[in-house]
Amino acid sequence: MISQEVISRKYAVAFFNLFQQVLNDEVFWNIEFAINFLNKNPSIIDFFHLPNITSSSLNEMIEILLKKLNLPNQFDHLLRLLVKHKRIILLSDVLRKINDIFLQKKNKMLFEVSSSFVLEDNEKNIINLFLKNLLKKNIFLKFNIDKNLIAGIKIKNNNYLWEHSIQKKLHDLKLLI
Amino acid sequence: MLNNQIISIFFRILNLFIILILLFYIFKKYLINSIKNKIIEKKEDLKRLEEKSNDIMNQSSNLDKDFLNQEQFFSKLSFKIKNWKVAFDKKLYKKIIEHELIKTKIENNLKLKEYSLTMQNLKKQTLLHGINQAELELKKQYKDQDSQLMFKNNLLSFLKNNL
Repeated sequence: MISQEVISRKYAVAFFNLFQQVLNDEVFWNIEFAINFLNKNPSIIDFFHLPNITSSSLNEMIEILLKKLNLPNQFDHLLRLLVKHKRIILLSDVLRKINDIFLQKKNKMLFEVSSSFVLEDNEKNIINLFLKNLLKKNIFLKFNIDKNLIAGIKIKNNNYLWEHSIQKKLHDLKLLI
Repeated sequence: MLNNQIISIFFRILNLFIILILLFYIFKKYLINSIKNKIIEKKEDLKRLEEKSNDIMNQSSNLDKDFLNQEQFFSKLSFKIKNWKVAFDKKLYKKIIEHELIKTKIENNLKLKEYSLTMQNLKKQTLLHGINQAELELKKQYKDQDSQLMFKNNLLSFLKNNL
């Protein structure tokens, strides 16, 4: 049995090969927003599983969704294909894979930066430069506030984790006991 | 009359004499050999019995000797068993003492380990409590914006220095 990851990657590769010209930094962030939105609102996908859905309702829903998520019209094909193949549940995974391929092709890396304090733009740039120098790649950063850190910063992606926070020090101390 | 009586006596004596001679003849002719043989047989029997008696006496003497030997052997064996029992008892006593020592040692070690484990747990709990208290204190301290700002500036300085 083929795993969902493999299937999602196949859709993402196909989409990327067809429409890579529409993908840019702005679309990348829109896709990130879409992934977050779909993860937070999984019930939206349930609409596509309704039994007596008409084609006009389907079209309307896809149009609203693309508008809401600020995704280019080319994503309309992807959504329709996934609905047709009854694999709309993979949408979030496929979008993630499209962004992964985009990052790979553009020699970029995406990091999630959690901090206990608000970071100004110049401070965000310092972090960006720090990572760029360290990894010799272009960096995309996603920021959020995490009060659980108590004080500090945590930078992570699928492969890397850099953390300097009170919470980590306390955690390390607990592990030492 | 008297003559008749004398003649009668004479003949009686003669008869007696003839009978005796006849008896002697018969005895000599038929019985003496048989009796002689009987006597010889009896003598041989007697000799055999004497020999048998001597054999039995010898056997008895040998048995006495054997018995004596057996008694001596038993006495030696008994002495050896006594010695062996004393040695065995000594060894057993030594083993019991050793066993008791090992048992005491193990019990002491277990007590020590138990004590050490309890102390370790106590230490762990105390340290955990300390860390939890520190966490609460640090959370309070870093609610203050100035502390956050100081931490942020230090952190960004470190990042800048490592560019």
